Amino acid sequence: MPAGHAQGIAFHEEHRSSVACLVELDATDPANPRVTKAVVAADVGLPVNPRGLEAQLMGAVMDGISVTLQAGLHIDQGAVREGSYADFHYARQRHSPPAFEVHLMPPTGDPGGAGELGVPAAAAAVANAYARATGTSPRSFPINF
Amino acid sequence: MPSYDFILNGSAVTVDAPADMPLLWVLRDKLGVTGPKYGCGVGVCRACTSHLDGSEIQPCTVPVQNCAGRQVTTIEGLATGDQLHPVQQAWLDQDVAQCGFCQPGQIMAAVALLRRTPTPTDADIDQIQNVCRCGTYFRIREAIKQAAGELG
Repeated sequence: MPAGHAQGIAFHEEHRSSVACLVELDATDPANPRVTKAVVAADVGLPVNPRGLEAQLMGAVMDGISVTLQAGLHIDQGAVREGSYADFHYARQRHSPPAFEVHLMPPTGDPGGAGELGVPAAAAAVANAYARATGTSPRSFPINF
Repeated sequence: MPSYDFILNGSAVTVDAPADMPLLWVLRDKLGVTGPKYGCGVGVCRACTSHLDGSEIQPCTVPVQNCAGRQVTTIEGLATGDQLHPVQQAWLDQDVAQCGFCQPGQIMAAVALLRRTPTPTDADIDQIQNVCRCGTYFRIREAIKQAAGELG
């Protein structure tokens, strides 16, 4: 990878399903990192609706990008300070990876869960990529908050 | 209460409404046109995105008095009879929608983008600011590219 870019990977299991995520991150501007590619592989036992499962994993990657890099809430005297999407920085199109792949493993048995299966793997993959790209070890998230 | 005339999805309409009532409430509550969704009310989530004289607007921040005598187009006015707009067809072909709440606004933003920029780059598509909490952004990107090819 070029200077300031890095790959990150992570793996997660829950609800009798398994998922792995790889992202490529451009952190040449550490205050404004961009995930440029994401690849997700999932084994959910039996994909009942493969296109829907792909979509769910795609959304999970966007959640992982958001919560790791930029979208958080401040609790101020017991109340959430953020009041709208103007200050709760959930990912927009400009934060989404222009390259995205999903690989669904062949059926192995009963269906497992896939509701938010991809979120922990995606979040950790983004954090690992950021750490590697910047030479830092972020311990507080979102990183740019 | 003042009265305003404008063209909504090709048909003349007249509404009695306070001058500063946001167009979104006129559309949804007075005219029963519910394609434009209410998300934030301050023009940042863009779920209500529609067109005024062919250009993108966020009706939650446009007072109805600014629409008098003009053409308002919502998602309901995009198709030609039973013939879907190429952007709508691309949305179906790419299975873009998940929960669907933001999708009328996303489609109207995409149509406006393609009017300004018929063959958008990834950087052009990145300029769309509509929020999608399901995270359908990659399929939105693919659908815009498909529609650009068909419209071009």
